Amino acid sequence: MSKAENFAVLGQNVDRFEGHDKVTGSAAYVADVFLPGMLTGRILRSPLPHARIRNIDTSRAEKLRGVKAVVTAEDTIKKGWGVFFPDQYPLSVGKARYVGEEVAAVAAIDRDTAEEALELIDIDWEELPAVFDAAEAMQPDAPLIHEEKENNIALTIDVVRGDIDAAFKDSDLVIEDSFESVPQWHSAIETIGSVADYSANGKYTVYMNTQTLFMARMRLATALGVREADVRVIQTAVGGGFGGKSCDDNNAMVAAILARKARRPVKIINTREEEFLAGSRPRVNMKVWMRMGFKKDGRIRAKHMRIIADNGAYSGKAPAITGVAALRHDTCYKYSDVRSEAYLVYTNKIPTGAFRGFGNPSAEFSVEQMMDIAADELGMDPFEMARLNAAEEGYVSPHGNRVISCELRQCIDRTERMIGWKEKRAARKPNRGLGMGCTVHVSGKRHFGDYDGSSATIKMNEDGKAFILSGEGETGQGHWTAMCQIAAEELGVPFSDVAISEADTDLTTFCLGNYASRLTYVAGNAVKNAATAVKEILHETAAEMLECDPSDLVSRDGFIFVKGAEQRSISVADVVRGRQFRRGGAPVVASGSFDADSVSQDALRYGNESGAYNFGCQAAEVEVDPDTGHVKVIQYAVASDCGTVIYPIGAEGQVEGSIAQGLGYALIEGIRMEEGRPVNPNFSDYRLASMRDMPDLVHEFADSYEPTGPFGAKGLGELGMDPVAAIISNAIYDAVGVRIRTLPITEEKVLRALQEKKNGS
Amino acid sequence: MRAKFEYLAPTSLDEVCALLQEHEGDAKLLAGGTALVMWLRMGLLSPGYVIDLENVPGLDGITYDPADGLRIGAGVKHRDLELCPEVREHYPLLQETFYKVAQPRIRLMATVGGNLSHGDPMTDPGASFMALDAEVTLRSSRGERTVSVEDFFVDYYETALEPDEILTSIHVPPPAGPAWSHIKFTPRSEEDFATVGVAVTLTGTSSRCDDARIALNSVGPTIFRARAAEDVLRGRDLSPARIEEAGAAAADASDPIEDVRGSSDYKRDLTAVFVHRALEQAAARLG
Repeated sequence: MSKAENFAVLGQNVDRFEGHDKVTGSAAYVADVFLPGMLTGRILRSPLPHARIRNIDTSRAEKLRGVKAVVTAEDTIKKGWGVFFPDQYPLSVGKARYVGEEVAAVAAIDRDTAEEALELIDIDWEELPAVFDAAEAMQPDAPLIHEEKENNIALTIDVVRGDIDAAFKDSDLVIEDSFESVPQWHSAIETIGSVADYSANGKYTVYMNTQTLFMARMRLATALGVREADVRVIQTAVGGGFGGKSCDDNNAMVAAILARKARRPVKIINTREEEFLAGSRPRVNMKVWMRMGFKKDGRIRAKHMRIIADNGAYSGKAPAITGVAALRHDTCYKYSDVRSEAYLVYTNKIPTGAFRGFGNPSAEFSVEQMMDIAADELGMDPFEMARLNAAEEGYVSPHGNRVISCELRQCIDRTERMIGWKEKRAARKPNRGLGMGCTVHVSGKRHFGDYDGSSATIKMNEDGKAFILSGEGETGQGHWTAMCQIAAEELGVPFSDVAISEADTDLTTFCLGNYASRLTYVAGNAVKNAATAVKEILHETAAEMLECDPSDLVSRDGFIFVKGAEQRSISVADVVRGRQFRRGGAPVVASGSFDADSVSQDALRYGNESGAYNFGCQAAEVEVDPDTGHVKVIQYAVASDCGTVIYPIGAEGQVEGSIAQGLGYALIEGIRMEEGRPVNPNFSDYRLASMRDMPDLVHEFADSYEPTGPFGAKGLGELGMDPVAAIISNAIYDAVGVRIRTLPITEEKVLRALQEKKNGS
Repeated sequence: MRAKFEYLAPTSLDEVCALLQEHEGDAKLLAGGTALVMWLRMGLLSPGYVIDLENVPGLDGITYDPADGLRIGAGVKHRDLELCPEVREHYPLLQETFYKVAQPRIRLMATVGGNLSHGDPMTDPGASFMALDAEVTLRSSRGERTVSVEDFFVDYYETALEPDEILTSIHVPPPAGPAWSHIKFTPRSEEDFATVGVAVTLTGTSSRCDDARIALNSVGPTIFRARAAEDVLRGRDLSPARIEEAGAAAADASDPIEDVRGSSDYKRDLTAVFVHRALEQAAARLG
């Protein structure tokens, strides 16, 4: 940590802030919320992938004893909502566009009654032709899913930088290939749920396990047709988000609509089956075509990428995700001439959306394999090629991303050493192979209005303890702990003297929430700025009490000292009491704000999307069973550049979790659909990597310091996920000479490819 | 809709049999619940009565006798069988098989009898019991009968149990020899059901196979014995060519369905590979 300061609290494995509540089972998740008179809500979902609703008759359901409210689109304002395109409704208006779509809902005294009532709702459906493949949906004769969207295209991107034709002509090697990714499902241990209450004065209170509180409020207000402050959203404990709980679904909307009609609180917790159908929006699956040009020495000369992204029936965050897939990776290596085309296309399937990596995994699955193919063709070592092309401090990507701190080369060196690349390549074993790849991610992204900021308030208690009011919330990664560490470090108090609030839109200032690996960097800066402001107030009063100049004071371990005369000190508690309990006294409280030095992309998608970029390199060693196609990951090495590490055990958890999800994405996961219906919507058929399936994982953090980050920190949460699938594919190729271009890389695909290779040669 | 049923908690086997008879075809037995509860939740079963075996004595216990073999109460948990010293010593095939079932949380709940009675072709124990020539005791108010595990599995989720019967115990004959093998191919996750499961026992020497039992799970509508593959080996040598032939015969006998674990062709190809490997491993143990 050469550039890092000497920290008192940062870098320590403190007790996780909410750890005791979680391990003792006392943390209150949304299912634990019980309000007086609360009803159970259940949702009637479309059984058809595309169908017009001729008529809905709810009269039989309404008459069932114990039913307090039955709602359909007639109980809504019938206005679309959605973060980028307002194309979805809380309850189907006119037609349903995927299997699982919310059509009607019931609130009743218990679950059995509510479910019985659902069966009494009569819907007269007129089935419409449906389309399930994004490329087919773009064809002129495909059925239209949203009538106003020509060719079912929700979004088109076509960005050209430099002279792409000349660059390809100038290339010594040009390669072309196609890749395909799958909808991966978050598989959070807790499903989406909410408890909504509606008071007589017209205000909604919604308890949610969302990871983006104020965004949820904004979308609820739009869907309900009220002002933002007419909705109060309170975050409960969250059992895993990974992007899936960023409120792009209708669970809370329906609960709120039922609560208003029933005039009683309503709880809706998705069942696991519902969660697969219409809960967290799975990763956007993409078909990617690529052409890349290289100079003989391995330098990238040109890149052309064409993406067809599957939006599913509604847009959610997929428009931004498609943009990331098209452009983000150009920050990882030094590019000059690139073209990125992307089409986001509606299909009659589960809407896709945000998932750790946000488009980057599909892109890196493609680009990092292209790099490997090129290295192979050029007879170069992939590590050498990565080093040659790696971004560095001061690099500006063709799309305007400005790299400040960058330790990518250091990560490449570390990974090469950790995996034992040179030694293992020198002593090859049959059916064993090595693969590597690089990755880049952001620390916050400016795409929801011209703002990528955060704010926090810190108030000091008269016992000297600091309390942070923050609306960012905790989704499970340990942000609360990191925020408390940052505040403690800046205030000069022990970690145990800092606490943080739950997120509540009425009680905390506006925060964008948990996405884009943004909290440590963006919210951390806001908390640090609030702490600086509080420290100034404390020093002002301490200076009066110690009869010195405020600029002579330092804070440490809960005391304020006079520099150079450290026997002259006073406790933070005494200072707070001194300021409060006097004539004209006032509490010690201050707010801090931070907005990253990024810019909104212009109409041509040019602009620095984030305040800081995090980098990494990873490598895998695999063994392939030539008789079965089974791929066993022997060892996995990761080096991550996330700036200063604030909370080491939390950071390591992010790396390990990323690799576990990445390996699942590479080898086993993916929602399979037939005619728009998931065929594996349970954990028996949708398998996840378990603890026993994890390879030997070796990991290091780079020595790194981001000047614009809080104490030098930047983001980490998604970085590790992005390149894993490509690296596994590269390692398989190295082991047995076959390359699998579609996810997941099942043993059957590998075996068939091996047989084809054998028969072909 | 969640399942609605009447919950019955008898305290003796006689009472269980009487209840099964009284509610014939409309009652399900609840032991560990790892299969039944999932099926109830998914709406795949809607029995009028659920008979809880929690308070029924006489279904527990593992006893080993060199002359009689192993007797396992139907209510014995997977985990208990896996950890039983006599099983470890005399029936390493069973120990290995049970160790590979799901993960400890499931094994601590799921019972041996419940597993067999469920008739799920994807589970592992049935194949190993078959390879050891085990039989099960079925009881009803009409009396008791024994059925070989091989005959017990009738069709997809269908067993020889009559609606009024309960499986009370499993009997495994005394161990015939040291040559065995168990392979559970779980490429997606070690906690997954097998893509292919193979249990093998051999007697004889490496130059002459006296007897072979090859049982397979996850590659047909039931767990089954690959008798044609056994016939290839019985009374013959265990040369590589012979073993390969046996693997091919087992694959011919398989009838796997396509699912998330792979196509039926792939599973059939793998059946040959894993029967081959299991036979090699078992033959190596013959010495």
